Amino acid sequence: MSNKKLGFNELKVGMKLPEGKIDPITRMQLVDYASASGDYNLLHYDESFARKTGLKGCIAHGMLQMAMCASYIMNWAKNGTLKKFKLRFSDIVNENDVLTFKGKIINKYQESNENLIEVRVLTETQEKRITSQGSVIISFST
Amino acid sequence: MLDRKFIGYKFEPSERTIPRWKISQFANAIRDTNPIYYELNEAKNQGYKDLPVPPTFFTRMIYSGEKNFYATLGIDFKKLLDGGKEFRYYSQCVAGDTLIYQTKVENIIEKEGKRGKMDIVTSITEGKNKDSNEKVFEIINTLIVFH
Repeated sequence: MSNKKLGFNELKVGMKLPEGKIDPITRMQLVDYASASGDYNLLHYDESFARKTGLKGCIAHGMLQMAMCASYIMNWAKNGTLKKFKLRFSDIVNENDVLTFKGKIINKYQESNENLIEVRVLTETQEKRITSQGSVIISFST
Repeated sequence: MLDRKFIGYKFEPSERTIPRWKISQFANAIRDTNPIYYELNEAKNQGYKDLPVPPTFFTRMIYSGEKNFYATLGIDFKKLLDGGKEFRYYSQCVAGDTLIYQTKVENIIEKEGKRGKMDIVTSITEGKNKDSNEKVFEIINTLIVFH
């Protein structure tokens, strides 16, 4: 992605953000996130435990997906300030899944002297399974 | 079905000071390589007083107090589904800040879906900067508990 800052005037409703594809989610990352977030649910790093609950293997924390989605958005918005971020989880993210984040500007408005845009976001796996959807509101000073 | 007496229930507030290493550790776990989360100079160059927190860092503060949220409300994990999370941001938070946050059960309502009757539990956790008393964040947490 470029380092060019975004200006409110250039942003238009209907514009799509460049897609963000991330590296496969590894067991190491799940352990790192468990430790960083304090969410030590065994489903995320103990495969035999996960299988006992009926899953095929370890699954990613929903909040890990949300955190990576936030990084995707802020990497694009750069000088923008995040105001709201809402996400609903619709499917499981498995270990080794490769996620792609997508975004589209669906609203542009001003409120209490702030320049705001609303972006609809979606996360899907390599098999085009949608794992989360939501919206983000970002303010731009210029 | 969950007891409606918990609507409006407030958990005890908690206090937490955010060290730099926790911010870098979290950024590494989510594989965000932005130098503002690792290098003080870079954060200052970008206009921050110290390392800023990544947007969902407050996940760690989703429930305040010593009492377990799920046990208090009588939520059975086997019947629980995450209905989504919403973060609202009011002011910047950086390493060294001390936050005071408190969780309140906002509402519990019944709905009926494909899998039968369920309770929708909404909790709101509000975080403030202890020194400035400025509001920093709100997390709106939606949980689905099947009957």
